[in-house]
Amino acid sequence: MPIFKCLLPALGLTASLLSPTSTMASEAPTGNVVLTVSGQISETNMDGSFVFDMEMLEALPQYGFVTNTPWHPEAHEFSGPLLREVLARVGAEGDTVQAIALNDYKVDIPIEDASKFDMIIARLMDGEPMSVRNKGPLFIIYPFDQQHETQSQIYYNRAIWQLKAINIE
Amino acid sequence: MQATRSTKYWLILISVALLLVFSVVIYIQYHQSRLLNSTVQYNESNVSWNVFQVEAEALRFGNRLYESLDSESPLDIELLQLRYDIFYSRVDVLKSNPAAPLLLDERDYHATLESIYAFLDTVAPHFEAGNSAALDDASLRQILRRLKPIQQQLHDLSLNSVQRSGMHSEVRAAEVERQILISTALIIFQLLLTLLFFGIVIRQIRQLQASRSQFSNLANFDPLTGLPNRRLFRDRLEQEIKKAHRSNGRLALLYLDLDRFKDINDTQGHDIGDILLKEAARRLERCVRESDTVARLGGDEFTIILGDLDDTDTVAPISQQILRTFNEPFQLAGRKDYISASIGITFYPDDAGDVNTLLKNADQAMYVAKEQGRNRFHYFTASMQRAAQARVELINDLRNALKQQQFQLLYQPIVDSGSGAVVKAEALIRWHHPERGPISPMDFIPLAEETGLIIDIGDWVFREAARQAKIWRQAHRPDFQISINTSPVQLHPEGIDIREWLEHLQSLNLPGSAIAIEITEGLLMDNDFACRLMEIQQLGIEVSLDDFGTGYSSMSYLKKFDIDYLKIDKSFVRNLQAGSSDLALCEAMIVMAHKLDLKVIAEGIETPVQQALLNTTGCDYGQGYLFARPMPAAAFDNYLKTATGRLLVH
Repeated sequence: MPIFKCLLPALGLTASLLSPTSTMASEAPTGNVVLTVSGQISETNMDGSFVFDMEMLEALPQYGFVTNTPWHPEAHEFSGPLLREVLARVGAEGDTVQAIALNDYKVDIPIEDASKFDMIIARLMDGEPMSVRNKGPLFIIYPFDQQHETQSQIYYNRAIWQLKAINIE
Repeated sequence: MQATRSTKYWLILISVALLLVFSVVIYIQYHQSRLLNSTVQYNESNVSWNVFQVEAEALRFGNRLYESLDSESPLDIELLQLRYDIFYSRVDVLKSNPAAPLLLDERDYHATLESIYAFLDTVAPHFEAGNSAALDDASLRQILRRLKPIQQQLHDLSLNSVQRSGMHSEVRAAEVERQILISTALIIFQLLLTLLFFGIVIRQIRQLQASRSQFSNLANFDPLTGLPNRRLFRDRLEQEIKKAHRSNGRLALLYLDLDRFKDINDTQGHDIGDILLKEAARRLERCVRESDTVARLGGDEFTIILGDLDDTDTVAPISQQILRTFNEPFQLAGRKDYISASIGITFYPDDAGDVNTLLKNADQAMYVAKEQGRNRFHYFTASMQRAAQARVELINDLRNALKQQQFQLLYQPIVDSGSGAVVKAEALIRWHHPERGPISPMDFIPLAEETGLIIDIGDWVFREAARQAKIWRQAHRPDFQISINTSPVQLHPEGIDIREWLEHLQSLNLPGSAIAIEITEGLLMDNDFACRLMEIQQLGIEVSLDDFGTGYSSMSYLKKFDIDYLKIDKSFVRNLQAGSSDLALCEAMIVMAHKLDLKVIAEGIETPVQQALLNTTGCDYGQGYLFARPMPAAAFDNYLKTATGRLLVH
């Protein structure tokens, strides 16, 4: 179970606090946009929102775990940036994370969840990118098997797949 | 042993059953916890949602296709692909929900999935990234045509899921209820099994205790006779010694050996010997108080502890009683056999202070008894032996007393209250011992009763009194009557020989009414005595109830047995005063007696006042020192003459 964790987010956060208009903040995606963050954020890179392509998400510190889910018959390894890293990257300031799926399914995630749990925006399942058919390309996953209190309907409902956008409220 | 083994199997069986029930209960609980597992619940609650989402995506996909048809703009193939993929992923989600086939109509569910996948596979070439097949209007329409029935199917399935979700929770609730019921039943069963288990264990423990106490029985009791064995005997003797020591009391130890027992055992076999021992034990137990201990030391040797003795004299009658009961024949295997016993007697604290010495003493004394000819008892102490011997001598003397005419009758007059005439006399026996002088009836009558000599003595008294009555009837007055005292022993079936008495009366040409017998009222309560009494009454002999008022004083007996005279005890007469309660009692007795047609004789009259008071109450006769003391026949003869003179003068 590879765990990708480094000091980068801390440095990035410090940098963003010190100079909100740094080049990092205005970094624009080069590839297809896979995630749009909007709402109460301090960092933007496109029309008042912050958009990520896969490369930008990959550039954030990576974190991974193996867990069972109600949607898979067996355990899988999921990896991607921690939600709180993503929120920090965009300078989120609200209470609620409204996550929106490709099919416009929406769910509200309290922002504490991101700090309380090592939840990730999974990019990879078993080291492979996830297709739309396979609930990709992004999947918010709680560490169900690692933090057992997340094994409940509340968190199952908050684990949203085919994630396309986040709105901070 | 067999029982223990089967119990063991039962216990194992119950244990296995308990284990089984435990397992089932645990399994059910595990199963229940699985049902309540959040993943399972999530899946179950999401089935309808999943179906709905598939339906929605099918609709969106369809809409997208329609839009593509109508649109003037060029076909947005990427958007179509995305809708296709989302639709596909939704179908996968439904498929991967394990609760779906359970909660939906399974056949519809599978059929729907099958047709969706068939559809998705058929149209797949058009929506694959990169190498998608050309999508013209015709193929779009074809795809839409194919999608339509699937939408219908999905719609039905969705409806079905909504309807079923309610049903499912009912079924689920029913299932949980059923499982709770089963668990409860199993737990009750478990409880019963546990109770049974403990019940058996407790029973087992009881049996163990019982067998242990049986074992201690074996250790303390002689299995043949059931009497305490040597061990328990020593224990009891020690206890009795301690008790006697504390209370400054006395106890006797009797050592008893059956005479000729070895002969019987050798000639008739051990079985007969055993029967004899058992019977001997039974008889010994009957002779002593419940608080006394009869033990079997082994063989034909028995010991008896007599505790709480006031004096040493009480032991002799008990020993004699034992010897007498052994005089009764023993029924041994259908034939009678006689066996006697020899007894040695010793006392604590007179002879010894410890168990061993007491046992040795008693054993020695028993051997002396054997040496002196068996069937007797012997004391360990010389002085006691002397006292016992003196008693035996006195009994022997008593036997000779009749032959040697050492008995004499004294007569005390009984006076008619009305006329003052001497109409009756009570005969009282005296024994003039050639060496010891006069001996009181109080001392020799009990011996006479004990030895049975009382029958002969009683007969002599009767004959003598009858003879004297005849004389005084002729010389004094024709209705003169002499009353004689009788012992209970005389009223035994083997007591008075009625025929002999009758013959004697006839030989004297004397009516029975010349004699009255005095009995005590206690006798009337015994049926055997009562029958005997009636036989005597048939001779014409009258019956006088002695010491009336001191015993039961039952009226019903007076009526039942045709009693002739009632003798008011002297204890009532002694304190007679005008207005005293004794006078009231005498009056009451007299009135009652007269009602029952009985005459009353007052005994112990010593003063004229007593006589006067009795006269006023209507008492029929008086007797006492006021008139005369008991006197020999010759003196009585004189008394009669002077009394007649007095009467004439009066």
